[in-house]
Amino acid sequence: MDAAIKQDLPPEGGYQKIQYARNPAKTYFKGGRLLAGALLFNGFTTYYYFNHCYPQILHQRVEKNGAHLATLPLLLAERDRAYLKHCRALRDEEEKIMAKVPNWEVGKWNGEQIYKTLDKNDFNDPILCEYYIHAPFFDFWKKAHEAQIQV
Amino acid sequence: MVLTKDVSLPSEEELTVQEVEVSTPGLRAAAFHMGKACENANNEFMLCRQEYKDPRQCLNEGKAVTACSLDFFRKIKKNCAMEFTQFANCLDRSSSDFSFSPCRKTQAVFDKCMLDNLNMERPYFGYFSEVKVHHTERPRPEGIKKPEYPDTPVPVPDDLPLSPAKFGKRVFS
Repeated sequence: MDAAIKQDLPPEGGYQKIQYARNPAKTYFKGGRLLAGALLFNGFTTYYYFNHCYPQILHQRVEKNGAHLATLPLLLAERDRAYLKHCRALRDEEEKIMAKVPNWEVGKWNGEQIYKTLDKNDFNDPILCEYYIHAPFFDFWKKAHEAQIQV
Repeated sequence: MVLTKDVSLPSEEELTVQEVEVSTPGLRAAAFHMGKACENANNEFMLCRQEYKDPRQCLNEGKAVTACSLDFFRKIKKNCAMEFTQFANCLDRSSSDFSFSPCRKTQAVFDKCMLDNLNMERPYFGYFSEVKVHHTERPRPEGIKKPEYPDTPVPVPDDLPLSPAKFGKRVFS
Protein backbone atom coordinates (compact mmCIF):
# COMPACT_ATOMS: atom_id res chain seq x y z
CA MET A 1 0.00 0.00 0.00
CA ASP A 2 2.31 2.72 -1.30
CA ALA A 3 -0.36 4.97 -2.66
CA ALA A 4 0.46 8.65 -2.26
CA ILE A 5 -1.39 10.22 0.57
CA LYS A 6 -3.74 12.93 -0.68
CA GLN A 7 -5.06 15.29 1.93
CA ASP A 8 -8.65 16.52 1.63
CA LEU A 9 -8.31 20.25 1.06
CA PRO A 10 -10.56 23.11 -0.14
CA PRO A 11 -10.70 23.67 -3.90
CA GLU A 12 -8.28 26.12 -5.41
CA GLY A 13 -9.37 29.64 -4.76
CA GLY A 14 -11.34 28.61 -1.70
CA TYR A 15 -14.99 27.72 -1.13
CA GLN A 16 -17.88 29.80 -2.47
CA LYS A 17 -19.08 32.53 -0.18
CA ILE A 18 -22.10 31.69 1.96
CA GLN A 19 -25.04 33.82 0.89
CA TYR A 20 -26.63 35.21 3.99
CA ALA A 21 -28.14 38.46 2.73
CA ARG A 22 -31.97 38.57 2.74
CA ASN A 23 -33.70 38.17 -0.60
CA PRO A 24 -37.29 39.36 -0.03
CA ALA A 25 -40.07 38.81 -2.57
CA LYS A 26 -41.19 41.71 -4.69
CA THR A 27 -44.01 43.68 -3.06
CA TYR A 28 -46.92 44.80 -5.17
CA PHE A 29 -49.09 46.52 -2.57
CA LYS A 30 -48.35 48.07 0.74
CA GLY A 31 -50.19 49.54 3.68
CA GLY A 32 -53.16 51.61 2.68
CA ARG A 33 -53.69 50.10 -0.74
CA LEU A 34 -53.62 46.58 0.67
CA LEU A 35 -56.11 47.50 3.40
CA ALA A 36 -58.39 49.23 0.93
CA GLY A 37 -58.29 46.23 -1.39
CA ALA A 38 -59.08 43.81 1.42
CA LEU A 39 -62.02 45.95 2.56
CA LEU A 40 -63.32 46.21 -0.99
CA PHE A 41 -63.08 42.48 -1.58
CA ASN A 42 -64.69 41.71 1.76
CA GLY A 43 -67.50 44.15 1.11
CA PHE A 44 -68.20 42.68 -2.30
CA THR A 45 -68.30 39.09 -1.04
CA THR A 46 -70.55 40.09 1.87
CA TYR A 47 -72.92 41.84 -0.53
CA TYR A 48 -72.92 38.83 -2.85
CA TYR A 49 -73.54 36.39 0.00
CA PHE A 50 -76.46 38.22 1.51
CA ASN A 51 -78.10 39.00 -1.83
CA HIS A 52 -77.55 35.79 -3.76
CA CYS A 53 -76.50 32.88 -1.52
CA TYR A 54 -78.30 33.45 1.76
CA PRO A 55 -81.85 33.81 0.31
CA GLN A 56 -81.46 30.38 -1.31
CA ILE A 57 -80.28 28.84 1.96
CA LEU A 58 -83.20 30.46 3.79
CA HIS A 59 -85.64 29.20 1.17
CA GLN A 60 -84.39 25.63 1.53
CA ARG A 61 -84.46 25.87 5.30
CA VAL A 62 -88.06 27.07 5.39
CA GLU A 63 -89.13 24.38 2.94
CA LYS A 64 -87.45 21.63 4.92
CA ASN A 65 -88.92 22.95 8.14
CA GLY A 66 -92.36 22.86 6.54
CA ALA A 67 -91.93 19.23 5.48
CA HIS A 68 -90.82 18.37 9.01
CA LEU A 69 -93.78 20.13 10.60
CA ALA A 70 -96.21 18.46 8.21
CA THR A 71 -95.02 14.95 9.08
CA LEU A 72 -94.44 15.57 12.79
CA PRO A 73 -97.99 14.69 14.00
CA LEU A 74 -97.93 11.34 12.21
CA LEU A 75 -94.53 10.39 13.63
CA LEU A 76 -95.42 11.66 17.09
CA ALA A 77 -98.69 9.72 17.20
CA GLU A 78 -96.90 6.53 16.22
CA ARG A 79 -94.12 7.17 18.71
CA ASP A 80 -96.58 7.82 21.55
CA ARG A 81 -98.28 4.50 21.01
CA ALA A 82 -95.00 2.58 20.87
CA TYR A 83 -93.77 4.45 23.96
CA LEU A 84 -96.82 3.60 26.07
CA LYS A 85 -96.72 0.01 24.89
CA HIS A 86 -93.11 -0.29 25.99
CA CYS A 87 -93.81 1.40 29.35
CA ARG A 88 -96.53 -1.12 30.05
CA ALA A 89 -94.26 -4.00 29.05
CA LEU A 90 -91.55 -2.68 31.37
CA ARG A 91 -93.95 -2.45 34.31
CA ASP A 92 -95.25 -5.98 33.72
CA GLU A 93 -91.70 -7.26 33.44
CA GLU A 94 -90.71 -5.63 36.71
CA GLU A 95 -93.67 -7.22 38.43
CA LYS A 96 -92.71 -10.63 37.10
CA ILE A 97 -89.01 -10.36 37.96
CA MET A 98 -89.48 -8.94 41.46
CA ALA A 99 -92.36 -11.25 42.42
CA LYS A 100 -90.24 -13.24 44.87
CA VAL A 101 -88.67 -10.23 46.58
CA PRO A 102 -90.57 -9.56 49.82
CA ASN A 103 -92.22 -6.15 50.34
CA TRP A 104 -91.45 -5.07 46.81
CA GLU A 105 -93.93 -2.67 45.24
CA VAL A 106 -93.76 -1.96 41.54
CA GLY A 107 -92.53 1.56 40.79
CA LYS A 108 -91.68 2.31 44.42
CA TRP A 109 -88.59 2.16 46.58
CA ASN A 110 -89.17 0.76 50.08
CA GLY A 111 -92.86 1.51 49.67
CA GLU A 112 -92.33 5.18 48.81
CA GLN A 113 -93.20 6.91 45.59
CA ILE A 114 -90.32 8.38 43.63
CA TYR A 115 -92.10 11.72 43.14
CA LYS A 116 -94.16 12.49 46.23
CA THR A 117 -95.74 15.77 45.15
CA LEU A 118 -97.39 14.32 42.04
CA ASP A 119 -100.82 12.71 41.90
CA LYS A 120 -100.98 8.94 41.83
CA ASN A 121 -102.26 8.80 38.26
CA ASP A 122 -99.81 11.35 36.83
CA PHE A 123 -97.70 9.99 34.03
CA ASN A 124 -94.00 10.45 34.49
CA ASP A 125 -91.46 9.78 31.80
CA PRO A 126 -89.06 7.07 32.97
CA ILE A 127 -85.41 8.07 32.65
CA LEU A 128 -83.56 6.70 29.66
CA CYS A 129 -81.54 3.99 31.36
CA GLU A 130 -84.71 2.64 32.98
CA TYR A 131 -86.51 2.73 29.66
CA TYR A 132 -83.69 0.73 28.04
CA ILE A 133 -83.11 -1.52 31.04
CA HIS A 134 -83.86 -4.78 29.18
CA ALA A 135 -82.33 -3.66 25.87
CA PRO A 136 -78.77 -4.23 24.66
CA PHE A 137 -76.35 -1.59 25.92
CA PHE A 138 -75.46 -0.39 22.44
CA ASP A 139 -79.11 0.52 21.73
CA PHE A 140 -79.16 2.63 24.87
CA TRP A 141 -75.88 4.27 23.92
CA LYS A 142 -77.15 5.12 20.45
CA LYS A 143 -80.34 6.65 21.85
CA ALA A 144 -78.45 8.60 24.47
CA HIS A 145 -76.20 10.19 21.87
CA GLU A 146 -78.70 10.99 19.14
CA ALA A 147 -79.95 14.53 18.59
CA GLN A 148 -83.17 15.17 20.47
CA ILE A 149 -86.30 16.47 18.73
CA GLN A 150 -88.01 19.00 20.93
CA VAL A 151 -91.79 18.79 20.98
CA MET B 1 -89.19 2.46 37.38
CA VAL B 2 -91.32 5.47 38.26
CA LEU B 3 -94.59 4.00 36.97
CA THR B 4 -96.52 2.41 39.82
CA LYS B 5 -99.60 0.19 39.65
CA ASP B 6 -101.78 3.27 40.28
CA VAL B 7 -100.81 4.85 36.95
CA SER B 8 -103.37 3.83 34.36
CA LEU B 9 -101.68 2.74 31.15
CA PRO B 10 -103.73 1.76 28.09
CA SER B 11 -103.76 -1.89 27.17
CA GLU B 12 -101.97 -3.48 24.24
CA GLU B 13 -105.18 -3.74 22.17
CA GLU B 14 -105.97 -0.06 22.58
CA LEU B 15 -102.55 0.88 21.27
CA THR B 16 -102.39 -1.47 18.31
CA VAL B 17 -103.60 0.06 15.05
CA GLN B 18 -102.49 -0.24 11.44
CA GLU B 19 -99.40 1.99 11.21
CA VAL B 20 -98.20 3.90 8.17
CA GLU B 21 -95.28 1.83 6.93
CA VAL B 22 -93.61 4.38 4.69
CA SER B 23 -89.92 5.21 4.94
CA THR B 24 -88.43 8.68 5.31
CA PRO B 25 -88.08 9.50 1.57
CA GLY B 26 -91.72 8.57 1.04
CA LEU B 27 -92.88 10.69 3.97
CA ARG B 28 -90.76 13.58 2.73
CA ALA B 29 -92.09 13.28 -0.80
CA ALA B 30 -95.72 13.31 0.30
CA ALA B 31 -95.24 15.64 3.28
CA PHE B 32 -96.82 18.80 1.87
CA HIS B 33 -99.87 17.16 0.33
CA MET B 34 -100.37 14.98 3.39
CA GLY B 35 -100.08 17.92 5.75
CA LYS B 36 -102.72 19.78 3.74
CA ALA B 37 -105.04 16.80 3.40
CA CYS B 38 -104.91 15.87 7.11
CA GLU B 39 -104.55 19.39 8.44
CA ASN B 40 -107.53 19.27 10.79
CA ALA B 41 -106.59 15.96 12.40
CA ASN B 42 -102.95 17.03 12.70
CA ASN B 43 -103.78 20.36 14.34
CA GLU B 44 -106.24 18.70 16.70
CA PHE B 45 -103.62 16.16 17.79
CA MET B 46 -100.85 18.70 18.23
CA LEU B 47 -103.16 21.02 20.20
CA CYS B 48 -104.15 18.14 22.47
CA ARG B 49 -100.51 17.19 22.89
CA GLN B 50 -99.59 20.75 23.82
CA GLU B 51 -102.49 21.15 26.23
CA TYR B 52 -102.15 17.94 28.20
CA LYS B 53 -98.43 17.18 27.79
CA ASP B 54 -99.39 13.56 28.41
CA PRO B 55 -99.30 10.84 25.72
CA ARG B 56 -102.20 8.93 27.33
CA GLN B 57 -104.75 11.71 26.83
CA CYS B 58 -104.39 12.09 23.06
CA LEU B 59 -104.57 8.50 21.82
CA ASN B 60 -107.83 8.94 19.89
CA GLU B 61 -106.57 12.09 18.19
CA GLY B 62 -103.35 10.24 17.32
CA LYS B 63 -105.31 7.34 15.86
CA ALA B 64 -107.28 9.80 13.74
CA VAL B 65 -104.00 11.26 12.43
CA THR B 66 -102.67 7.81 11.52
CA ALA B 67 -105.95 6.77 9.89
CA CYS B 68 -106.06 9.96 7.81
CA SER B 69 -102.44 9.55 6.68
CA LEU B 70 -103.00 5.89 5.87
CA ASP B 71 -106.03 6.77 3.79
CA PHE B 72 -103.99 9.43 2.00
CA PHE B 73 -101.17 7.03 1.16
CA ARG B 74 -103.67 4.46 -0.11
CA LYS B 75 -105.06 7.09 -2.46
CA ILE B 76 -101.54 7.84 -3.69
CA LYS B 77 -100.84 4.16 -4.24
CA LYS B 78 -103.99 3.83 -6.28
CA ASN B 79 -103.53 6.93 -8.44
CA CYS B 80 -99.94 8.19 -8.49
CA ALA B 81 -97.79 5.24 -7.45
CA MET B 82 -95.21 5.60 -10.23
CA GLU B 83 -94.75 9.38 -9.90
CA PHE B 84 -94.58 9.13 -6.12
CA THR B 85 -91.95 6.38 -6.18
CA GLN B 86 -89.90 8.34 -8.70
CA PHE B 87 -89.93 11.48 -6.54
CA ALA B 88 -89.15 9.58 -3.35
CA ASN B 89 -86.31 7.77 -5.07
CA CYS B 90 -84.89 11.08 -6.30
CA LEU B 91 -85.05 12.55 -2.79
CA ASP B 92 -83.35 9.49 -1.40
CA ARG B 93 -80.46 9.47 -3.83
CA SER B 94 -79.79 13.10 -4.70
CA SER B 95 -78.49 14.37 -1.37
CA SER B 96 -77.52 13.24 2.08
CA ASP B 97 -80.30 15.18 3.84
CA PHE B 98 -83.37 14.71 1.60
CA SER B 99 -83.14 18.17 0.07
CA PHE B 100 -85.93 19.17 -2.28
CA SER B 101 -83.86 21.45 -4.49
CA PRO B 102 -82.21 18.74 -6.69
CA CYS B 103 -85.60 17.10 -7.42
CA ARG B 104 -87.73 19.85 -8.94
CA LYS B 105 -88.45 17.94 -12.14
CA THR B 106 -89.78 14.78 -10.49
CA GLN B 107 -91.59 16.98 -7.99
CA ALA B 108 -93.37 18.78 -10.82
CA VAL B 109 -94.46 15.44 -12.32
CA PHE B 110 -95.76 14.28 -8.94
CA ASP B 111 -97.57 17.58 -8.31
CA LYS B 112 -99.25 17.43 -11.69
CA CYS B 113 -100.43 13.87 -11.07
CA MET B 114 -101.80 14.82 -7.63
CA LEU B 115 -103.61 17.82 -9.10
CA ASP B 116 -105.09 15.88 -12.01
CA ASN B 117 -106.14 12.69 -10.26
CA LEU B 118 -106.81 13.65 -6.65
CA ASN B 119 -107.42 17.39 -7.05
CA MET B 120 -104.84 18.14 -4.34
CA GLU B 121 -102.72 21.20 -4.81
CA ARG B 122 -99.32 21.67 -3.23
CA PRO B 123 -99.65 24.38 -0.55
CA TYR B 124 -97.78 27.58 -1.25
CA PHE B 125 -94.25 28.16 -0.02
CA GLY B 126 -94.01 28.61 3.75
CA TYR B 127 -97.55 27.37 4.42
CA PHE B 128 -96.57 25.04 7.26
CA SER B 129 -94.32 27.62 8.90
CA GLU B 130 -97.20 30.05 9.41
CA VAL B 131 -99.01 30.53 12.69
CA LYS B 132 -102.51 29.09 12.53
CA VAL B 133 -105.61 29.30 14.71
CA HIS B 134 -107.34 25.98 15.15
CA HIS B 135 -111.03 25.81 16.12
CA THR B 136 -111.91 22.71 18.08
CA GLU B 137 -115.02 21.18 19.66
CA ARG B 138 -112.97 19.49 22.37
CA PRO B 139 -113.44 21.12 25.80
CA ARG B 140 -110.59 22.83 27.58
CA PRO B 141 -108.57 20.46 29.79
CA GLU B 142 -109.40 20.76 33.47
CA GLY B 143 -107.10 20.64 36.42
CA ILE B 144 -104.27 22.56 34.81
CA LYS B 145 -103.60 25.41 37.22
CA LYS B 146 -101.77 28.59 36.46
CA PRO B 147 -98.88 29.15 38.87
CA GLU B 148 -99.46 31.88 41.47
CA TYR B 149 -96.72 34.04 42.90
CA PRO B 150 -98.11 35.78 46.03
CA ASP B 151 -94.94 37.71 46.89
CA THR B 152 -94.57 39.46 43.54
CA PRO B 153 -93.35 43.04 44.18
CA VAL B 154 -95.89 45.80 43.54
CA PRO B 155 -94.91 47.88 40.51
CA VAL B 156 -93.78 51.44 41.23
CA PRO B 157 -96.24 54.11 40.02
CA ASP B 158 -94.99 56.45 37.30
CA ASP B 159 -95.69 59.68 39.26
CA LEU B 160 -93.86 58.64 42.42
CA PRO B 161 -91.95 61.67 43.80
CA LEU B 162 -88.24 60.94 43.73
CA SER B 163 -86.21 62.19 46.65
CA PRO B 164 -82.49 62.86 46.27
CA ALA B 165 -80.22 59.93 47.13
CA LYS B 166 -79.54 59.62 50.83
CA PHE B 167 -75.84 58.87 50.68
CA GLY B 168 -74.87 60.66 47.49
CA LYS B 169 -74.08 58.95 44.22
CA ARG B 170 -72.88 55.39 44.24
CA VAL B 171 -70.76 55.39 41.11
CA PHE B 172 -67.17 56.73 41.22
CA SER B 173 -67.64 58.17 44.69
